[in-house]
Amino acid sequence: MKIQFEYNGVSQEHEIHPGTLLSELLGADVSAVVLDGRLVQTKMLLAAQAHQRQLISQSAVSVQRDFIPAGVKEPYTSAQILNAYLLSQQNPQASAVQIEDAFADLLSPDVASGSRPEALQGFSGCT
Amino acid sequence: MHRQLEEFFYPETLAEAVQKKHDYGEAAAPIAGGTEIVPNLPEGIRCLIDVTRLGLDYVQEDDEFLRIGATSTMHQLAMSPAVARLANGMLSTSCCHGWPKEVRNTATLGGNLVGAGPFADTPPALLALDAEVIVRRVDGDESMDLQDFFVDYRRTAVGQGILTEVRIPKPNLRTRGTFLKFVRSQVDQALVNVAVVVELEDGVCRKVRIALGAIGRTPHRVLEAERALIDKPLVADSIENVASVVTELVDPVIDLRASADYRRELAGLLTRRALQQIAS
Repeated sequence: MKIQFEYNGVSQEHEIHPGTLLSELLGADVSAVVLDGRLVQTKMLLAAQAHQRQLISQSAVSVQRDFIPAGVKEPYTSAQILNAYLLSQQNPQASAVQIEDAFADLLSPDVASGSRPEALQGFSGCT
Repeated sequence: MHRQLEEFFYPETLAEAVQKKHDYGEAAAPIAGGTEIVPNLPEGIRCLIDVTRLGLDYVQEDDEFLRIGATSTMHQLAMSPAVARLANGMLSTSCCHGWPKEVRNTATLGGNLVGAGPFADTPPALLALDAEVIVRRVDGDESMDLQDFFVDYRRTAVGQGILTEVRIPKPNLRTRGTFLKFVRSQVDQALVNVAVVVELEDGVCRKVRIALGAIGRTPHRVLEAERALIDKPLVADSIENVASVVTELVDPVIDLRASADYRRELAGLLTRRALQQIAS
């Protein structure tokens, strides 16, 4: 199937299998993107879901260090960089508390990388 | 890569979506956020139907009901003032407590219900709020009580239809509610969750709803515990009695995260806390 989307400001067309994950299409290093203004994990979406959407990756934004809490250490994850970017766009006057809040419920890096998949997937051990 | 998928369909209308679901039968499923279905694509699914472009991401209220479109995201619901006004914001809590931002941004209410995961958070809240669901079928809309929607573990009554709306009767001003969830960490699924709604008249419980999740094969109300509180004052003795009834009645699932006894204790404990919160 053919899909089209705007990626970092550039229109792209791809021929994909319907079951392709967005992370497989964009590359494993692109773990998070902003999709139509919302921060999402690329391995949780199919590429087909991005059809006719607007995507922004970490590589298209500059790191807004003022919008990253002091406690968050480098190297920053894609999600942290994009989260700071979104916050800087949505609330340029964000206070330290608001910045802390905006980072409080991000997926932790170990979960985002898939090392704890049970946290996201339905649990099938039910009897 | 889900190689079993043969088609990803973008319907332009709900009628097209329903027809496609009808044509494929069990081999097709709607997809919105995808957080349920992408990591857990059921065997036999060959077609996914994108329902995110059909205008089903709304929260509307009238005098009688709060109507929530099935593709409304958890973030949307957590931020909605109308949802927050409902029974002390219990549904808002169930939409944000323990949902990481990236999941909350994509997961939808419809997906949380149709996925029918026993550990999901919104079903107990909606059961306690007497919600009903609207399912669009080829021959028209069908509405059903949410408690009839959950058939078994990860099975619902949606059949060949598509869930389009959740309708919640607006509680009166005497109604209080709360949602509590017990988890080990921020992103874990509930070990037990409980939603309680009580309508109080001069301190006496006139209507009671107690719904539990992560305890059985489906989220469900505990009718006997509800009856134990009807026409009783919401005081320490009656609360203790109801908590005991819940502990006795529940038949918990067992998995590697918690034993049946632990879940049973948690169910009683959370029910007691929920009722105490409402009483205070």
